[in-house]
Amino acid sequence: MARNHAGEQKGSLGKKRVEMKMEDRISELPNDVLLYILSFLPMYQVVRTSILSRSWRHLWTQVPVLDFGTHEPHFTQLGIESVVNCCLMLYNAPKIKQFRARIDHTCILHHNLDAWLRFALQHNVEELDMDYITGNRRDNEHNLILYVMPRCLFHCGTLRALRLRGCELKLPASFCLGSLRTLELYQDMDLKEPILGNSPLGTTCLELNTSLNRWEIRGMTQLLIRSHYLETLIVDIQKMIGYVTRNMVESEGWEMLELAMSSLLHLKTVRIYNLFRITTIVSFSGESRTLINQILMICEKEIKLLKAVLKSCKMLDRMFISAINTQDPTKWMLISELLLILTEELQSFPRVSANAEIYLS
Amino acid sequence: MMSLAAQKEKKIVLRSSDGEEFEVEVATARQSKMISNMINDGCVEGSIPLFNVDARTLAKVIEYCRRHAGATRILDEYDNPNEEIKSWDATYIDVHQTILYDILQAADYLEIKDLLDLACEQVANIIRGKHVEEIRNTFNIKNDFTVEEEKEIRKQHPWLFE
Repeated sequence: MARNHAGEQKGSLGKKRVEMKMEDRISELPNDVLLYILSFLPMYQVVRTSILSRSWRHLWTQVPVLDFGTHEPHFTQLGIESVVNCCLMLYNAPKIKQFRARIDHTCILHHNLDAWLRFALQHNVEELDMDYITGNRRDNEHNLILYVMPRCLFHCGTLRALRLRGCELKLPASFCLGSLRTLELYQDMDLKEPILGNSPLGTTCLELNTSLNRWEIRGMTQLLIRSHYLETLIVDIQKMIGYVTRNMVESEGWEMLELAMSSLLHLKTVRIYNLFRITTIVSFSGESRTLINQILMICEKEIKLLKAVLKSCKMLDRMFISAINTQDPTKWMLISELLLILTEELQSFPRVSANAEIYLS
Repeated sequence: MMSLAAQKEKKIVLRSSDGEEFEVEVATARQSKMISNMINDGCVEGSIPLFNVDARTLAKVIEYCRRHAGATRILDEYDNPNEEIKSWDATYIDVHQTILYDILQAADYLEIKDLLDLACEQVANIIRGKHVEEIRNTFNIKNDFTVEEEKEIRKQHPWLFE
């Protein structure tokens, strides 16, 4: 018999523990509490509870959070495909609160990926967190090969938060994302220029991880134009990893972005992370004055972004800028000098919001 | 600030299932949605009997509510998570399993969402990374499957039990 006598095992340790009770308290908890506990765990761990005992057998099929974001180390990508399929087939709750996955889309049939998304949407998902690993695969023109989000995504009235990475997002002319409050788009995201349309996004918080390249600025503009209710904008600046074609005329893109920003009448907080990308700083050495000039030149786009925010956001209350995050003490002198120069620059930029406070660190 | 000070002066008496009485500030008591609703409805004259919470657990729960009543904002002035509270929480919840379940059930009953979150996540962390047998041992879960049944489940998810 595969039965387990926990009491005997503990007893064999030869230690008397007065406090230790041998009762099974966890299985007595109400199901909704148990499901809540399970919702903190990755899916493979959740499903594993089905074999604990009879009362646990089917519990996992109702877990409100489906987290395929971490896998057992021995899983192959192909294995993950059948794991997800198997879990979704047995899933038995009417509603999914959160659906999270991290998958290499180049190894998995895209109609399967579409089906998983459709499954989540049909279960009135509230939070969708999809990380499509690109494996750095590129097409003939050296562009990253990305998964194209299916259109059904844009007709989910229950979706409150959407976090995407490594995929292509093309906003259709009309969509219905009435509950969407948070949108986070991470690097490798291709914000292709969307078709113009009038449907507004209800988003109040928008987080973008971007390297501020030409096409991203365009996509960002399109998103902002539609984000009438935006209160918080977070821009996390990433090291450029996409393929850059040539230096094109970008000024037009920035003008459009400023225009879009000036129409955001609820935007009060702007946060900008990694203004000076850490790798840039670390790889430099030499005399500090020329160094700072070099950095400011390289980060021209980032400075442009700051300029655009100050110039266009009428209701701005607070802007947080975290310029650099380094543990290397030899760079601290340089950084404090850099921050000083940046502060001077910031004060010289025209502002539309007289009361906006700027926090620089 | 005035109203907060005024709220602090007013006290409420909670009586545990084993009859012990605890005098707490209104702001502390309001961390519980259930008690907060009772206060709003004006049914807190005398003491509030809590039939499902014993004195040991109640004392522990009040400790949590008192700490969090003083820091209603979980975020600091720069909207970053309040590290001080976070580390206080981590120490607070690092308790023996029996107490952990008592806290969890009390938080569920009294509707203290943050405490329920904290306790549930703590239980999840105990499960995390463990194999089936380890989980059974840790929680004293008795395997009541027959050999055939267990075989069948293992066959259903071969990827889990290699």
